[in-house]
This record gives sequence, structure tokens and C-alpha cells, in this order.
Amino acid sequence: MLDFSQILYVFEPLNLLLMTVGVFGGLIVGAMPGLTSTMAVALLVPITFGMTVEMGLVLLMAVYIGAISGGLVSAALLNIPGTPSSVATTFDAFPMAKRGEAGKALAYGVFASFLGSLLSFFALALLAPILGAFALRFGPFEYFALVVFTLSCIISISGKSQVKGLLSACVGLLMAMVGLSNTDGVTRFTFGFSALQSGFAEMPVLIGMYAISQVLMDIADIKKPFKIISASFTVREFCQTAARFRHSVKNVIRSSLIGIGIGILPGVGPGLSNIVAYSTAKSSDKDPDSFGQGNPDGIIASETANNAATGGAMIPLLTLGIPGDVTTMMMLGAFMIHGVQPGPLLMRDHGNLVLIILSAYFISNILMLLLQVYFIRVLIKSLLIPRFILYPVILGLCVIGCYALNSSMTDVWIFLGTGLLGYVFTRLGFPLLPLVLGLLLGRMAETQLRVSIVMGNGSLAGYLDRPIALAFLAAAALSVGFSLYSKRKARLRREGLAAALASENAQG
Amino acid sequence: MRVKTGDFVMALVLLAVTAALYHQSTTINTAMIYALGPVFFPRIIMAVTGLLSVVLIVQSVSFKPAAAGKRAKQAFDREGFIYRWGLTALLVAYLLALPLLGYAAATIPFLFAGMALLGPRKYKDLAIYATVSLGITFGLQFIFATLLKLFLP
Repeated sequence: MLDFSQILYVFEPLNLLLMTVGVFGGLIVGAMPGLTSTMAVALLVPITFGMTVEMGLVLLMAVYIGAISGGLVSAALLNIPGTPSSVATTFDAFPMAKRGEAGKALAYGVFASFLGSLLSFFALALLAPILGAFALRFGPFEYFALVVFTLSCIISISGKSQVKGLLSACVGLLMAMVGLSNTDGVTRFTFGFSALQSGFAEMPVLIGMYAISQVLMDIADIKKPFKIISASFTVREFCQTAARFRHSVKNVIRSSLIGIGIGILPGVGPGLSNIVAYSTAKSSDKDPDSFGQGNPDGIIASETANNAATGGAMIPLLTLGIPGDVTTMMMLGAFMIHGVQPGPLLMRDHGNLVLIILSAYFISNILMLLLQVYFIRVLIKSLLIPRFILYPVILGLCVIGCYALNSSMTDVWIFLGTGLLGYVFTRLGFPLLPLVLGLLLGRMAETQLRVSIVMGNGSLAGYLDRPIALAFLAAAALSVGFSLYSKRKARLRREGLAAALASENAQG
Repeated sequence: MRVKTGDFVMALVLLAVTAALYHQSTTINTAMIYALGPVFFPRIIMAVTGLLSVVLIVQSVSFKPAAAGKRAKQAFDREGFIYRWGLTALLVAYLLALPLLGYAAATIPFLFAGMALLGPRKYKDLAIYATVSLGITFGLQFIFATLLKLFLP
């Protein structure tokens, strides 16, 4: 039975303070080009280790919402998306800012972010219990099929090469096999290092992969100066802009649904939602040519969708234990270090924790709106923090955070090693997401596959009697098949264009 | 013939790692374990990894001549190289120093050296780096050790 009085937990002064600091910190990190919501959560997970699980998740939730929304600032004022989730925001926010309406561009983005998050909250509150109850029917067959589906989704959308995506997932799965086997308690693949007996700890790998590789990738541009367009808006101006949203109700609802839908897909999240919502808004507008030249509906579509995807991404995490995007993957790690396993049993055994997370999500959205309206100038100032100061501090914080998790230098070396591996992978075009997801879900996949085969009397025939598992496997095959087909079609189109160009040149 | 060196080398590395893991899997005693032992799933993944690595090797080799525009190599970014690997070297030195010197004595020089490597190096800048290094180091110590009661090296 849920104890609804738990909602009051988030209103305790310390938690309100944590959420305010979390949202504001997230907004600043999100605003800085190159620093993503993933990094914001990664930097904070070790700090939450010293808190109660409720307090830690409240803080992470606040940071997640702040960081996704903060990407708007640099997208509008620098033409650089602060996070991948605000790529499409640059298309119209920057042209609008350039023609002297920077404050208006920010105001549109801020209110759209709030509406997207709000609608996403209702989706999360409504869908999570339903999906959670449905997921209680899942057994080993369904879980293994779900992992296959999750990996196939990510491989389908990540990078240009599916071979590299698959290889990346395999590396993650192989890393998950290191250490004691869950089922038999046999030590595997440690190469004699006793420190690897318990396998690769997830958080140092996640932090290394996303913090070190990001810093090393961006470091070459460290001295490139930013040209910041000055901007500001008063509360009255903000309210006037918000009133303009009555003309965009359709756009807001459509973009929110796109965001929530894409967010629910395992591993996809806000990074894709803003682009899909933007394209849909453009194609369904009476004047599509005005998009890209400072059309407010472009900003509204992108910012509504990316914030709506945050709630969507939380749904598979809370109900199935499968992260909706990279940032929720960090949160999965945070759940794990606190000894809580997200999934169908979370709703049943830790219903109050889910209530607290939902409440924190709601309050963080309101805080996000208020902080952006009243402190937008401070956020813009944060773009001026030099990256040559920021990068060493980030690395130092990561090192200390990784050490603090288990008081172990082994974790810190794993952080460094996997960070360098992440950098090499990124340089060579191997997507990182399949790797880290393979690492997080590898042991579950192995255990569920082995149990399902034993239950099927030594064969895979048991899957034929499981419609849900079969549906997941079919969806996995379809997603990979469709992705292969689209890539082949795009390649043939490119080759056709090149051949036509060559024959034109020959004739000319 | 053109070879995408990065992909080719990575595929070879992955093949070597897979071979090493397979060798390790043969040393695991599974005699006492019934049905689908601890090497069953890893070997499936190894087989897939090996197969995909071979595919990547094949894909990384091309017999088509390079397009004229693609022949020119990118200029070597010396500054980027120094920043990237200089900071990595500093990080390695920091990790080696941490257990020997302790948190504060290792962190302050790392932060200062990292900022001095990446940023301008006038006296005023160096003074700012020193202040930030001290502030961040002791700030983190207060958060982790005092507030959250977590151990620091």
C-alpha cells in the first residue's frame, strides 16, 4: 500500500535546498557547451553515495531536469547546443537571437521546457504503475528478449556503422562477464588480478567513458573564443511570451507526445526527440520555410520534446530496470550502489521511493522554471567560465568520486582505463552507449538466458510459448532490419548522386 | 588498396582480446557444473565478437581509389596533441601520487598543473589557478570527508 504522506518528504527544507542546488547546478552544466546532463549526473553520483537513497535520487532527478533544460542557453546565444538534446533548438533560437530577440528566444525555450516536463510528469505518473504491473508477468524469457530488444534499439540508431555498434555492445557484454559468475560463483576472466574478482564496478566505467572521453575530445577547441549574444528578459516579458503559447497548443502536445514516446524507447532519449519533434513541426506548419529563420514554433517543438523525453526515459528505468537514455543509465548505477534494483518489483517493494521520485520530478520542474526566469543572467554568465579551469576540476572530481565509491584505487584505475578506451572508441566512430548498456545488462542477460534454456529443457523452444518475449525479439529483428534497409537506401542514393555528378562532369 | 588504419588495428586488437578470453575460458573447471556452465554465454559473445571483428577488417580495406578531395591529410594539430596527452600524463601522475602523498598534497599540484597546461601562464593567471586549486581541493574535502563521511585517499 502506498503511503502518500511520503510526498511531503520532498518538501523538507533540506530536500528543497538539495533540489534547488541540483536544478541550478544542472542548468549551469547543461548551458556549458561540451558538458552534458550525463556528465552532471556522473559527477554527482559519488556524492549521493554518502546520502540516503531517497535524498540521492531527489538530487539526481533535479540535476537531470536542470541539465536538459540548460542546453537551451548556449543553443540560443552561441549557436552551440549545450547538450545533444538541444541540437534542434539552435536552428531557430540562434537566428532569433541574432536579429535582436535573444531574450524572447530564451523565454520561448524556458516555457516550452516547463510544459514538456509537466506533460511528461503526467505520463510518468500514469504509465509507470500500469507498465510496472504489466512487467510483473515477466519471467526469464521476457527479460532476456527485452535486453536483446534494448541493445538492438541502440545499435540501430547509434553511429554510421552497425558493425561498430554491435562490436561495442559485445565489448560491454564481455566486460560484464569478468569476475564471479552470478549463477555458479565461478571466477572468470580476471587474468590473475584479484581486484577484478567482483568484476568491473559500473560507476567508474560509466564516469570514465563519458567524462574522460568528453574532455579529451573537446580539449583541442579549448582556446576557441565564444561570441555570446547578450540577452535578458523581465518577468513581464516572460509572461507575455508565455501567453503566445495559446497559438501553439497543438505543437506543444504533439512535441510532448513525440518526446515521451521516444523517451520510453530504451536507450534513445532526449537526444533524438528534439530533432524528430522539430522535423514534424516543420512539415506540419503552414509556412515551413520560416523554420530555421527564427520561428518560435521551432524552439517550442525542440524544447518541449527534449524535456518531455526525460519523463519518458524514467518510465522503462522505474518499471523494467532498463534505462531510457545515457543519463538514466547513470541513475541506474546510482540505484545499484544504494542496493535498490529498479524494475517491476520496485513498484511493489519500494513504492514510496517511486512516489518520492515522482514528487521530486514535479517540484524540480517548477524550480527549473523559476530559476530560469529569475536567474537567466547568472546562467548566461556561466558560459564565461573558462574551460581550461573547468576540465582539470572535472577530472579531479571524477577521480575523488570514483575513489569514494568503494575506497579503492582499483576503481580509479578502471575509470582511467575505460575513459581512454572511450576516447579511442569515440575517435574511431564506435558508439559508447551500446558498450555501457552491455556492461550494465550483461549479467542479467546471461542469467535470464541460462535459466530460460534450463526451463525449456535445454533448448530455446520455450520462447515459442511466450508471446511477450516473441514480440520483443520480433521488434528487435525489425528495428535492426529497418535500420539496415534505411542505411542501404541512403548509400545507394549517395552513389546514384555521385554517378550522376560524374557523368555530368564528363559531358561538361 | 586503401586501409582505414584505425578500424583495422582496432579489429585486430579485439580479435586478440577475444582469443585471450577464449584461452582463459578453457582454463575454467566446469566438470562439477551441470548444464550450461559459466563459459556458455561468454563464448557466444566471443564468437560474435570474433566474427564482427573479421567483418570490420574486411570493411576497413578498400580497393577503390580515393576521391581526389579526400586524399589530402588533415594538418597535425600540435597544440591539441600537447593538451590532450599532457593532461592524460598529468592524470596518470596524479593517480600514482594519490596513495603516496594523500588527497590534498596530490590534488592541489594536479589541478594547478592542469590549468597551467591548458590556459594562459601570466603571473595573474597562475595566482588565479593557485587560488582555485586550493579552494576546490579543500571544498571537496569538506563535502566528501566532513559532510558525507566518505573516505579520501
